[in-house]
Amino acid sequence: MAAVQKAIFSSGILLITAILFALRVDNTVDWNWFLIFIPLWLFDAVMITYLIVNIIIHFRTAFCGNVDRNDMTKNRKYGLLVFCVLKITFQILLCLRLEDFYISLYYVLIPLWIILVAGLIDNFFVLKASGAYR
Amino acid sequence: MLLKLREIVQWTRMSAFELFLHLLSILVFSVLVAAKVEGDLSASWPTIFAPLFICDGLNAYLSLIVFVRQYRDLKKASIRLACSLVVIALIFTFKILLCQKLAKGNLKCAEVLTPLFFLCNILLFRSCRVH
Repeated sequence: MAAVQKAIFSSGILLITAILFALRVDNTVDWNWFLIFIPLWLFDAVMITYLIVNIIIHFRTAFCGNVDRNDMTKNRKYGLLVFCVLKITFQILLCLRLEDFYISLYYVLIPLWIILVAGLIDNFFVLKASGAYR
Repeated sequence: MLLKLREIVQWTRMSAFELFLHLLSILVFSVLVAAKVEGDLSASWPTIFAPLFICDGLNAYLSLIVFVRQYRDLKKASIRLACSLVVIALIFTFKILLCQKLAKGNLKCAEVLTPLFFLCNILLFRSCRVH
């Protein structure tokens, strides 16, 4: 997948999710929250398939310096897979909470906090490697 | 993620540092929201939203600093400033409207999400230039 396709797909998914979310919150439709999140499930499915295919390609091809054509190491791909699992967990917990199952919001947000902290650490190392302001 | 940091920077036209600030503010905000909703914190909604507003203020300030530093190439600097400020303004409007809805509840969700719809469309057009 080229970067332009990924970007168009991501922004399209974001737009459709926002529209469905607005319809559900305003009670224009009374669908189950799991249905409202369908674009996000689709996004997760594409992301997981993309990562698994990339990991398999990494196993079957001898890349120079263990880095593939997208500058990604095998460990980074495993990390992204864990990120996907955490994102799906967060979405399921959020849907359950919105469907009136009582789950403390702290438990719902734990996967999101792990994702955010990991993203911050990753971003911090990129900033540290590339100078004071990038 | 599907996209790498370099591609996200190219797509959103935000620097890595601006993305870092956004992530940090969302982290602090989510902790405050959880505490507020679960009844462990009695602060008002505008106080809960303070980290997000501070983040937008810092991002606007950084955009101005970058504009001043790129001043010799005025055209390029102006385009960059305009792009950044439009996105920051839309995000800030969305946060203000959401805060208003949560505090007073007199707005519909479609109205609150209008800036986000504009932002999604802008991102959709910008994604055509990612390579």
